[in-house]
Amino acid sequence: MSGRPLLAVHDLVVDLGRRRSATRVVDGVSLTVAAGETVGLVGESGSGKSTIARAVLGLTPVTDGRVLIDGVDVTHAGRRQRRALSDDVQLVFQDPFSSLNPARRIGDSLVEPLLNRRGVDPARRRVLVAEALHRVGLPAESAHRYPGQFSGGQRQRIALARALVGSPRLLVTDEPVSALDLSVRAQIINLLADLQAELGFGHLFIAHDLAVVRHLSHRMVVLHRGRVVEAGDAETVYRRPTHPYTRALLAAVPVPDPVRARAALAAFARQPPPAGPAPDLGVDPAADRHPTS
Amino acid sequence: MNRPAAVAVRVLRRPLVLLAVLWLLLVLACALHPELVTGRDPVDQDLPAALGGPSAAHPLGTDRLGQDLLSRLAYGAAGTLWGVLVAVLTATVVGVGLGLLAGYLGGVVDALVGRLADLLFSLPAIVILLVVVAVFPGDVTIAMLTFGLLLSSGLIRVVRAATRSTREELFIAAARLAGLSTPQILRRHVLPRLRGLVIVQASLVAAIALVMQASLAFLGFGPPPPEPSWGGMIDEARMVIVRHPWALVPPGLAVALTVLSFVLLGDAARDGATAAWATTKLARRRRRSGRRRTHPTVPAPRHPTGSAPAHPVEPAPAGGPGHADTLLSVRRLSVQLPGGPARGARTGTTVVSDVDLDVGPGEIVGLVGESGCGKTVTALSILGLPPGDGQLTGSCHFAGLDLVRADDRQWRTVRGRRIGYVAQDPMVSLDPTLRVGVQLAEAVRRHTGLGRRPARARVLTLLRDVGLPEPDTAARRYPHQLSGGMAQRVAIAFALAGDPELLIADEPTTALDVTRQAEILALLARTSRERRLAVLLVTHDLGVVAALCDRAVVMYAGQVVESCPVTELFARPRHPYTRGLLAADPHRASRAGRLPTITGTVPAPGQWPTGCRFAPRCPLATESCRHAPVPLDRLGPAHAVRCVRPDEDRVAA
Repeated sequence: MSGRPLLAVHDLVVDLGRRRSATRVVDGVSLTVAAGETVGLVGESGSGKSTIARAVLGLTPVTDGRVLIDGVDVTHAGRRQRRALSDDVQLVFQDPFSSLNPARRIGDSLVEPLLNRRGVDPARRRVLVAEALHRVGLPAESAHRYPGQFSGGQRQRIALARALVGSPRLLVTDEPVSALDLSVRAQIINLLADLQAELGFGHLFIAHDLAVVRHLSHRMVVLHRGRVVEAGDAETVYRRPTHPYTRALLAAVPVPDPVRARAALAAFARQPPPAGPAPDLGVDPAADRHPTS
Repeated sequence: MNRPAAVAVRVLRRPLVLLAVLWLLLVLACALHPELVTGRDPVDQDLPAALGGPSAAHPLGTDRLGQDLLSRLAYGAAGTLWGVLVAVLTATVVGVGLGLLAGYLGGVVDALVGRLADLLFSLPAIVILLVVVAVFPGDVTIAMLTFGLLLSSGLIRVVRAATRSTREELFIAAARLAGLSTPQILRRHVLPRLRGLVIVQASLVAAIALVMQASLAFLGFGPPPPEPSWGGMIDEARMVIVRHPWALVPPGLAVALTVLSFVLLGDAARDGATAAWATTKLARRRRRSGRRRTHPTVPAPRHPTGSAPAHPVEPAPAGGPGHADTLLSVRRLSVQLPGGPARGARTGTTVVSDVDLDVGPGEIVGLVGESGCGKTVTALSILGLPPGDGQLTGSCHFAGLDLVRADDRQWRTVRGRRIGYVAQDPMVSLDPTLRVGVQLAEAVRRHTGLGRRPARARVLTLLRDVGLPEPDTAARRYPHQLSGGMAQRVAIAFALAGDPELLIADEPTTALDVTRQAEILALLARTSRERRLAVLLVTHDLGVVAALCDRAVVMYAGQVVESCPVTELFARPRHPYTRGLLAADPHRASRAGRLPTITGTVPAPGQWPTGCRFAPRCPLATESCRHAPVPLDRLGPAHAVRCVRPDEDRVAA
């Protein structure tokens, strides 16, 4: 990595809830994403991975720490600055059904990132929308249809087209393939990789599935209860996890191989049942590694 | 695209709505040009004809002073409509404006607007109006402005509530991230969602305002007497009601018809304005097919005539030769959703066709496939609960019964007692208002006939069996107090309450984290082993199949395409779809890089190709694949595949 990273998060702390009953969801997370790089953020529900995304995008107030985009501190950016930022940073949600307004045509949703941009007239907008649709493998006339007429995979393509229509430099995707079927999931994973190769955006990729993250990411950051427990080269973390939590996470994923999957399940079953609602897999917070990337 | 016209056509297609529109147009015409409707002057007194019924000279009769009722109605329409318009505009502008602001901005604005709405709501409308008309006698505009303001409190509340829920939608967050300003978001995303709501509310306001206006005139606060008004006409008629009751009919009917028309038109306009996006095509088709409830046990043709069954005729139910080791035996199960007459000649959509499936005692069978392939419909149909009034054909032998033809009494002995069901979302099977223990005890008592105390003990045993460390505590909790994994354990305890022989589990771990998933899978494996419980596991996750199942049945586009022991499935998949799925699984891919994919998507029911349904996506497909349906061929004692070229090893690249 040369120069300053596209996205830099320093010691991010996010408390959710009202003052008295606030819970610390993100607890001192640092990470960076360079241009053209994909960083996978992995963890179970409650690990704080989505909250980090929301904090980066300004959808959740930050309690402490800093978020820098291209060297500019946007931690507490106001409405106006955020709107200007939308040229550079875009998000794709997990749920392709509720992230598109069912009452608006695809073209109306796709054009939104361009609406407040200077020097983009309506004719140019139409061209850009058609290009964006083409890029994600959809016909241009999709712009005249409603979201209800598309399947989940197609909608996720549309959401991707909306995110990329304004050529952002940083793309944040929150579980973009978790709601999709297997054959479609592989298509979208490949599409994300192709688009990055073509457009060169930095990509913060949030997922719970280590195998998917390994496929798409250059680097991987494993979160547990709001803290980074392991970070490093994606392939290395996947193959040789050093933290017990990463290992437990990997062991829990059933692999499509009857012999290995059964052995793993049997090993899992021998563990004592969980004590409470939150998972405790022998992670001692004091023992957490805070790797530098 | 000519959208408003399309909406208008849709709206006018209903006869009642058409009548309502025609009536309102007539009223409007009267308001604009009453002289076109009647040649008479409304204040012209034809005293000899006073208090007359309908006649050639006076089509609707006359009043006390011999004034023509038709003429007075026609000339009164303008004032009436104007009043309604003023009230509707006031209520809508104030209601939508304040409701939007309160709902979207929240905080102080919300609190202030809320108090204002409460205040408006609590003011006695009629008293306020009487004060207003006393101050401004005969001024309809000011009276209706006031009334519209009073009525806006209802609109403020509903618009605020709808805005609040819309504000939380993901697409609002997406619009914000796209850099839209708040006014842009309100105009582009929130207002379109409110359209239907506002139309209906406005039509109600119109109806109420009309009645209120007539009431005011009736009370003597309308326009001064010689001037015609509908309310004034009713007041006139009241004075002569004993001598000449007819006089009440024309104005009364006019008011009633107009009110009715407003409401009808409002409903229709709401449907028309939202029809383009409110429902999916399938749902619309289903809705059009009407609500006739066809019982799933209606005897239906077993086999489509002309095609000989590909399998030997079904043997006698359980116990028959060859089926000694089969608990559930599904043969040629098809599910057809009713089609609507509006959709042309097609009688219905087949969503599952000719599924064969066996589950032995204690065996775990995975039903694998992507969404839209019919695996959930198959599972629910085995339980006799096909979605959307689906019709079943074929047979489904379980414990000496053909479930496809079972009646309600027989189902009571099967569902819950002999076949348990676990849904993907455990919360749907738990009543949020009852403690877990109470619900479970109810199920136990119903299925086993145990008394209160033994049932309670059994509940605790069940909860312990499903791995809840403190069954006492868990039993006292409400469903919302459980975590996802715990709730799924409770749901499994529910399914086990009747000590069934077969458990049908529909994606039981899909909504859970991987560690929770592993726990539930381990629980299912242990339960199956200890109780000799057969499980039919619906899943899209090949890892889950590998970990848990003895055999796998792969479905594609409503058909079984491959059926074999799990070891075979992963070692020697024969169908190109199975191979493609396995190759596309990131867990299987040996190294990071491009994933092999299956091109295209699963075709929707009703759009299945005539030949091999996978042919359009298959790298091996040839002309012969597309000609005729491909049968499910046996490759060995336990392996069946629906492919004409099962030995080709080339996989989708």
